[in-house]
Amino acid sequence: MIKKIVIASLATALLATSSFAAGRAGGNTSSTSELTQEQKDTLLFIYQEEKVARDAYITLGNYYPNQNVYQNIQSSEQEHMDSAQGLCEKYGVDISNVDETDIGVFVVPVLQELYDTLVAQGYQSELSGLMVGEYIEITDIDDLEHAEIGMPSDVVKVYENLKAGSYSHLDAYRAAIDAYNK
Amino acid sequence: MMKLIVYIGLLLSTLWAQEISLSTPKEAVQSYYHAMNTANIDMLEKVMVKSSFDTTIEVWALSKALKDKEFHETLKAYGSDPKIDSKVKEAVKKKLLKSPAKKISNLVETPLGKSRCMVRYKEDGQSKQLFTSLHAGEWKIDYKAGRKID
Repeated sequence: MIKKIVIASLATALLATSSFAAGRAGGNTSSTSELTQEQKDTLLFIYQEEKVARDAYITLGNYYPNQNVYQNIQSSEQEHMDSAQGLCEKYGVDISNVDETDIGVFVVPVLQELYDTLVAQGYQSELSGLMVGEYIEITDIDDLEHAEIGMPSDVVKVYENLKAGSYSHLDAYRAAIDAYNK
Repeated sequence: MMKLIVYIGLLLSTLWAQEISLSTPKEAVQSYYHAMNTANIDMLEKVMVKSSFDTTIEVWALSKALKDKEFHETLKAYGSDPKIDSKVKEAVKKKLLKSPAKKISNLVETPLGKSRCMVRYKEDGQSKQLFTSLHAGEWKIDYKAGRKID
């Protein structure tokens, strides 16, 4: 999935944003990494891809207002977006055509398709919506586990923190799914 | 018979040449939409860099994977075996054939250096953009070419 392509860049990129690293990694990450050319090139995609997850949760949260799980996780996705936006600006990636406030609208066609697919699946039922959230988080964790292989320790540390966040979101979705099934 | 085969071959290659042109970034975007609208996966592969093509295939295959556990496992193995790749591409082709064709207009190129270019345009009235990069004289769709270089 797209996550697989960009996740390596994301974690490394987040390392370069000291405030984020301190916040997510509890200040344990002392060194930063230089981004490779390829990693810099993925930044716009990272930014937009984080928007896909955030917007899917916002849209599904509005569609199922009784499910608080979406609201709780949105703020975390917004944090990721903010970090990616800062990096786009830092490395000269033009994001002027991206309207962050326009929920569910994407200028890159493939990301529009990704968002539309996730939301269409989520609209099918409240349970489907929760399973979409579960799917997104499982994909994140799986991608992070693959991405950390062969990485330096500082990068692995960030991956582990991102993974912990995704596990927490996954637990929340699974608890909501369990509650729904009772 | 041989003459007929040669004739058909020439005809097909002429038609192909009319459909695909990558000499400018705008033409790359137009070729991309032509490939998507006609569900021509082989053409799509030619107008995109590999990583962007793979991303496109994986995303367009996702809706089937979310409904079909067996296909979900197939999609997870995409890129590992040509037979699996064919199955995934076939599923994407079927989905594209069912999808309404999209019309693009107002294409505007913004160079991002000598070998990269952003194309902004309208897709059925909605603002869209695609990045392109230059490979051996041909412009190809490249999702990761959004940063100005050289």
